[in-house]
Amino acid sequence: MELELVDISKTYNNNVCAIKSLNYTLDKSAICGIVGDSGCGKTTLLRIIAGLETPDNGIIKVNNNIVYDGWINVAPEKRQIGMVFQGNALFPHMTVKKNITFGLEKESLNSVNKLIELFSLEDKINRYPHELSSGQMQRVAIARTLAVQPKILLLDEPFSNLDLIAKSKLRTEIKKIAKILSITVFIVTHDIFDALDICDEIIFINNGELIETCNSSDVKNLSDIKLKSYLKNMTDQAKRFISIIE
Amino acid sequence: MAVSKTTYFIKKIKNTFNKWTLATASIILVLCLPLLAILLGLLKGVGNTWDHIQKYLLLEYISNSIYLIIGTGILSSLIGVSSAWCVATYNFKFRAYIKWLLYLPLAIPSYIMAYAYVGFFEFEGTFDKITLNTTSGLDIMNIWGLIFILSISLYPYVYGSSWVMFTSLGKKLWESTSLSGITQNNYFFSIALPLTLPAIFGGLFLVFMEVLNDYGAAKYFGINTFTTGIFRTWTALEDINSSIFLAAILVVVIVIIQMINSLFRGKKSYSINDISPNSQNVRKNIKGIHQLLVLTICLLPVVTGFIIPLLQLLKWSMLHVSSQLDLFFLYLSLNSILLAFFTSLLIILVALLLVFLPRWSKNTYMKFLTNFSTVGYSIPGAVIGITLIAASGYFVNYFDYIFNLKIGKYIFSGLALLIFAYLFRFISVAYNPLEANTLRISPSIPESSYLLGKSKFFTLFKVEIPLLKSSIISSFLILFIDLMKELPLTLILKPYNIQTLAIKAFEYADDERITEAALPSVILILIITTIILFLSKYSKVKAY
Amino acid sequence: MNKYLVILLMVIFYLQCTNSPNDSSLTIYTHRHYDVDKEIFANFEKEMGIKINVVNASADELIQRIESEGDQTPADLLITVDAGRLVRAKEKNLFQSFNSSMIDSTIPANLKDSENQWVGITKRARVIVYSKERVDPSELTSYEDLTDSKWKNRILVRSSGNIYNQSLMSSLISANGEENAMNWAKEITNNFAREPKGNDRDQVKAILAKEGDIAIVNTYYIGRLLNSDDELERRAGNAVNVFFPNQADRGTHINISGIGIIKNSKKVELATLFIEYLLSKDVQEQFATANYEYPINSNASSASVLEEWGDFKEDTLPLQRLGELNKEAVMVFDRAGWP
Repeated sequence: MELELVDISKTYNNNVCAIKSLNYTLDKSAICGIVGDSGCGKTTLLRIIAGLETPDNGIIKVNNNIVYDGWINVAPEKRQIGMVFQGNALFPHMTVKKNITFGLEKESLNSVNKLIELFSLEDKINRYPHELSSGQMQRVAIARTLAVQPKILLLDEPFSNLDLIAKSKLRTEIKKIAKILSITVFIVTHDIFDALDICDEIIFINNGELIETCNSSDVKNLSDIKLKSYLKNMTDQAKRFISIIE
Repeated sequence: MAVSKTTYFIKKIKNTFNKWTLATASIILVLCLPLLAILLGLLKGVGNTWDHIQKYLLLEYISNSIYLIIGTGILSSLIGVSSAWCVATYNFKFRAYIKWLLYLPLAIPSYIMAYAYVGFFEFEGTFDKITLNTTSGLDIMNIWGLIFILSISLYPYVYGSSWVMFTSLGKKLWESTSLSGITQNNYFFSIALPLTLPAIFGGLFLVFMEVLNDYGAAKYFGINTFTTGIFRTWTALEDINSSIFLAAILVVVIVIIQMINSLFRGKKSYSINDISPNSQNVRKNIKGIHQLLVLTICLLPVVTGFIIPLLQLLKWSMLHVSSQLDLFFLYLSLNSILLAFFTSLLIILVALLLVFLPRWSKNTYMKFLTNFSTVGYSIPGAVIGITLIAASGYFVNYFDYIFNLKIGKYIFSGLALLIFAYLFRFISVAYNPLEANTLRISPSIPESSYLLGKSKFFTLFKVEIPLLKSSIISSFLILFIDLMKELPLTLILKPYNIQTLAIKAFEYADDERITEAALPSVILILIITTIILFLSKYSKVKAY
Repeated sequence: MNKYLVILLMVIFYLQCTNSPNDSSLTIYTHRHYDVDKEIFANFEKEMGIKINVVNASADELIQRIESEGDQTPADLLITVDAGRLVRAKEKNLFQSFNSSMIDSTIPANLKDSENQWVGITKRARVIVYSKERVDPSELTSYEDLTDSKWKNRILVRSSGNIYNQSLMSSLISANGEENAMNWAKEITNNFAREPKGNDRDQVKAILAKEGDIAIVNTYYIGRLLNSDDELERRAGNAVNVFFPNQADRGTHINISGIGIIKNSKKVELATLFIEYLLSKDVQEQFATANYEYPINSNASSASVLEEWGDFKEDTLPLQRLGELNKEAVMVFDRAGWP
């Protein structure tokens, strides 16, 4: 089992319930989308998986090893989980190359050359983050995370700041890389179409509760009526839009 | 259900008391020891002269201190805010230099300023000669004179904090308000000033602390303040209990003011994030009479707060320079510089720990507790000195009693006690700006580093410290200046082979040989001036 | 690597400053920070081959320090600038007695402790100085006379926080009783030319500036003003004459700078040797000429300025009393409203 979440709960100090008894299991490596409105607890869930937040309750297993159960609490630096934050969080005082090799023991460029190539960053390696476009920054951030070969990659709203072209380019790259590295990827997004496009599996979260899990190929079999009507509504809008431009 | 509640509770405790919490708690505890020792004075109660103090002295101490605080508060904010406003909103000749010259009064310890001005205004003194003996001198040794002296030597605190805010208000704000038909003057009173008030209060708070810390100038002017009163009670009335009780009252009052201040700031903190160069104020070009007016507003504080006292001191030091100046002064300067340098470095390190350990511990209580370890700045140095001497005596004896080890030699003839006192008194000078600037680093940046498998310390040294570089350098230099000038702690706690310029100047002045005190003062001022000019290179936006 | 270097340097710097006192050294806590003291200490080092470590601070701070340091204090000797603090150190049980036939034979009994726990090293008189222009010295008689209404708005003196004023008050309490001393303080404040402020030199300068006509100051400040490098200070010194009050009765109030051996010092012999050195004729003359203080060793001669002022009758009140009455004196000042 890649990842197992058992009965995860998290309440913040101000009694806002972020996650309510969440259970989820992922058997094999896949790209998995976490979809929901903003403020529904998606980011908190990622932070809990990464070890940046401690849940109040529950068990987390990665590759069948417990990383959290209340007694055991593996520190984030030892969980081998990579995370790309919303707004990328690149180190502003380091070049692209320094950023990407930051997590490595020695500056062994060879192992990251492939990544740099995959993300076509060859001519940018000596630039500083503020000299890059948001698409390029996002790709550097993903490359930096992948450089340390994590078991699971967590992406928090990776497409939020990108224009349409950069977005579709990044989607393709993520798909390609997940396949090449055969790594499990969790993508948090509020945009169902992003999820539908690249994810193998989609988790729907509302108010900190997991309401539905489904395979992206059979969305039509969704049981939740509200979700279904929402999806239908969105699709209709998209269809109308397409008919206008055509 | 009961079982799960218990395990939940135990888990909660385990998560609360991680190693970072323990590390934070122990640093805070050590830093709070002097504070605890002073506050114990409240429990111990007053001594046998308390009735006498209450009947004859207390009212005068309190009222004089309040007059001083109000007077200095008003005058220093007038000087500080007006000059900051001019520098931030107008373009005029020499602006780039004046911007930094306005900090220079910080280079002169206020009691030296007091001596210099008494010399300047004395009968047939420099002022008298300039006015062709028409004045027969000007007596400034009164409370108004003291307010003047303290204001011109302390206004840079207000200037620094309000200048940064005025500059960072940004042109968008000015443009959008000017579109709604507001004039420059109205803009100042209705928009800029209210927005800057928290920063001005921040600077004023430092001014108040310095006023309460002043002992030398008030004593020379014969003004009895709360601080001189603490000393009179201790030395002349021979009642150390009442003296520590008075000090503890002062500390409690200050802590309360500080909490109100932070509450006020917490409610009304306008965060202005946009301080990139192109969003800064557009400065208005001015010419002719306006330029002259602005130049006067900006140069008057520099002339009165720096140039006049420096010239007076130079005049005095010329009398002795040939007989006084020798290699010993080089040794003295090196001694002062080394002591200030290494202590500043240590304070910066501890301040960084104090900023980051509570974050790592993820314990909100620790964050609250750090407030207590940074109140040292508000306690008069001499009070800290005396308390530490008494407390260290207990400590050494206790050590001897428990472990049968005589560590007195290392404590009493070493630098440890002095450096610890410096740390306690000046930690907030480094802590406050570092904490504020750390808040500006997005938490996801260090978190990215942890997720890349790097430890907290690795991240601190490779990511967070480089990002804080400019604020570390400016705090370091400010600490350096404060330590070079520091007098009461150094005087009380120094081991025998430490001599500093500040002490040398004080010894002469205390011995009523003010003309001889001038040379070490001038050297001290020149070193600090160099540092301030160096500071101007490093902190482009944030100076305080 | 850099940070290790810095830490190493810090440690070295610290150790450098912690070289602890050894057997052939004396550690002196002193409130006197005159240059001449440093010269005298250096000469002693040279002649005796004994290292002298000096800690300068005010006597109150040093006494507190010795008290806290207890039996592990590095201090061997304490030097103060007044008798009151010596008495306080004795009361706090910080001194030990020492025996020296040299001290017994040369120092008058009123200038040392009755149990030989401290002894004076130099002497100063608190005198009245008057404007040569505006005051006829025949008008002056005693401290007590300063309450006379003829001195209304003419008297200059520093604040009561100063130890020399406190000692003077102690001597007045001892001579006339607390009640009279209290009235004296109340009445003299009515005659002040201005609020008490500044230091002794400022009072003399104020006479030159015609702010007042007479001032109560210590003798050595006049000597220093007369020999100052600053022209204005010389003029201030020359504008006044010294008057020794109370010559018809108990004599002029004097105080001392004095020294005692710390109780926990293990170097009594060495310390006694040092005190005898300070009291030897040559060193006493060195103090006198450099600092215009009166020598305590009667064989030594005063500085020429002091000689010009002539001999005077000293108040022979045992100086121990000054210390014992100090606190009372301060309270009298407070009650009388002498700030």
